Amino acid sequence: MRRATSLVRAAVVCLALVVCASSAEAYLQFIVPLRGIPTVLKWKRMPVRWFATDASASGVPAAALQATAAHAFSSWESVPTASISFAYVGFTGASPFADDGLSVIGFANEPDEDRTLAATGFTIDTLTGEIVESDIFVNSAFLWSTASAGDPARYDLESVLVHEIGHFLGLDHSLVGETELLGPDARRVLASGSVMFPIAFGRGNTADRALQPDDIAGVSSLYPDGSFTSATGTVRGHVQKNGRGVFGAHIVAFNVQTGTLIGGFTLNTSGEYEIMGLSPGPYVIRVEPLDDASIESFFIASDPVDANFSVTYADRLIIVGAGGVTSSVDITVRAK
Amino acid sequence: MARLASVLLVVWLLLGLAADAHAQRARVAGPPRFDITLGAGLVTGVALGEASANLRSNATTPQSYPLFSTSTRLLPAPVVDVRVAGAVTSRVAIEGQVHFGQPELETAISADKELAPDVTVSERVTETLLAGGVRVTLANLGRQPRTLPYVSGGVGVLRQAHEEGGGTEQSSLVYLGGGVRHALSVRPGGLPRVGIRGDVQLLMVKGGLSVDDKITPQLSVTGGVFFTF
Repeated sequence: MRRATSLVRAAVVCLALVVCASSAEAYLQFIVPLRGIPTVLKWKRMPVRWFATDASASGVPAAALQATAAHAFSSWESVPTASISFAYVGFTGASPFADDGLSVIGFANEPDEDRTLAATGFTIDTLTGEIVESDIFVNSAFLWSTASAGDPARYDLESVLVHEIGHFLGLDHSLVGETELLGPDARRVLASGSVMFPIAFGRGNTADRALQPDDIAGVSSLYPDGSFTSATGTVRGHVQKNGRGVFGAHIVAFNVQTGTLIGGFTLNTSGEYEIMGLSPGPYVIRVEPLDDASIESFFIASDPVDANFSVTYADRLIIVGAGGVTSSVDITVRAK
Repeated sequence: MARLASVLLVVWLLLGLAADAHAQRARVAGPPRFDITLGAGLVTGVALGEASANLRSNATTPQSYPLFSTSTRLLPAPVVDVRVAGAVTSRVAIEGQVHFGQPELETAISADKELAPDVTVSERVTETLLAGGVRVTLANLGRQPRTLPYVSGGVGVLRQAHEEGGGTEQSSLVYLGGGVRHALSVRPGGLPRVGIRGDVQLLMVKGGLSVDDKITPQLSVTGGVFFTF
């Protein structure tokens, strides 16, 4: 009964250039205010049951979509430091975004969404933050490929599904990547270090089939298994400009021994940040403004995101210990 | 006799054996049982490796796209060095070693894609070396009978503790070295009582702070005062 009266559609996120409407207040995880309390959205019952639609797209029959989705689910399921599991139930004729209690993945032809490759929606219990339904639609207005080596004329379905399943699990976008402006409202990704980067790689690129350390840290912090908390550490601190906290600064922690990059954001006007899931070792901390994607890909429009500062490094090498939290790593940035 | 001693020395070195040399017996009445050396010195710095913050480029065949690059090294640092040895024969001793230092771990950051200026960041590491091996006194090659060169070798561990509870790196090492012990005070019969010692060691360290997990060589140069019992 509680569920029947409290279900709301909480968020829609997209792997595309424009339609990235998210109610998230935090990087990596969806956090929504429920009765005034910031609440992390996540599944609380495993395995998560999912259906595939019986619709096909040009060159991709429904069976191929289902097999590709199953493979993409297994990529997340096999993260050793996260405790998640999925169960495929079967094909359905239901459309992906029907509010029917079924988590459905399938094609839908949305030619008007000419920059949206795919999108994920949620239905949540607004009392607990539990995700009770999540649907992924893949826009069949684009050409898709399931070829093992990719197809230079088509987008790679598995790469896009791995990204969308990250949202399905409750992860928000990552900004570990670089883009270039193509026009006043368009960007092209130059490179990324996270499957959860909000802008997709180009046609033929299959790189996002493989989760990156940033993705693994994100899902592990959301669904930690027994060893995650004790085996990894956390860096936290503040980003300030002119003596005041910076909201929306993007921080990456780079392990100089392993070469891994894991990102996070300052999430309040005090400029506080926290990056979990760091393997022990020495880290370089780098702060950059949110200028490689639309701010709306990460925050709501009313958030006071400050992107007017130069890239800055923490002035010391930061050592992260297993199970530990660093002392505050405070970084002062300057306006451009 | 001197030529014979030299030939014996060469053969002995080649075989790595610890045979007594008759030529020494006239000068050394018998081995001291234990000696302890209190010393200090310097361990040279070492390049620990380079790493780039590589993103994956947006190409059908992705290539590395370095957001920035780093080069990490351990700077030279003074160390306190203590060694304790027990004699096995007049020339061969089993020696344990502890040294302690606090070198800076330094990372230079460069080539930022967004043109951030190059910077160098660092932290202090507390380093403790624990090693054990064999010290073999060579024949007295100098004119002064109180001065005796030696070679040494052994294995050990190097523990490098980070600041602020950042954990400890532990690596294994092999060392080879040598030096000279000079007696300042001699017991009746020729045994040294107190002396000074100079020592050089090549430390071949594997693991620990190394970026690429390769073996990193470090040179340790120490000097100290030794006492025999």
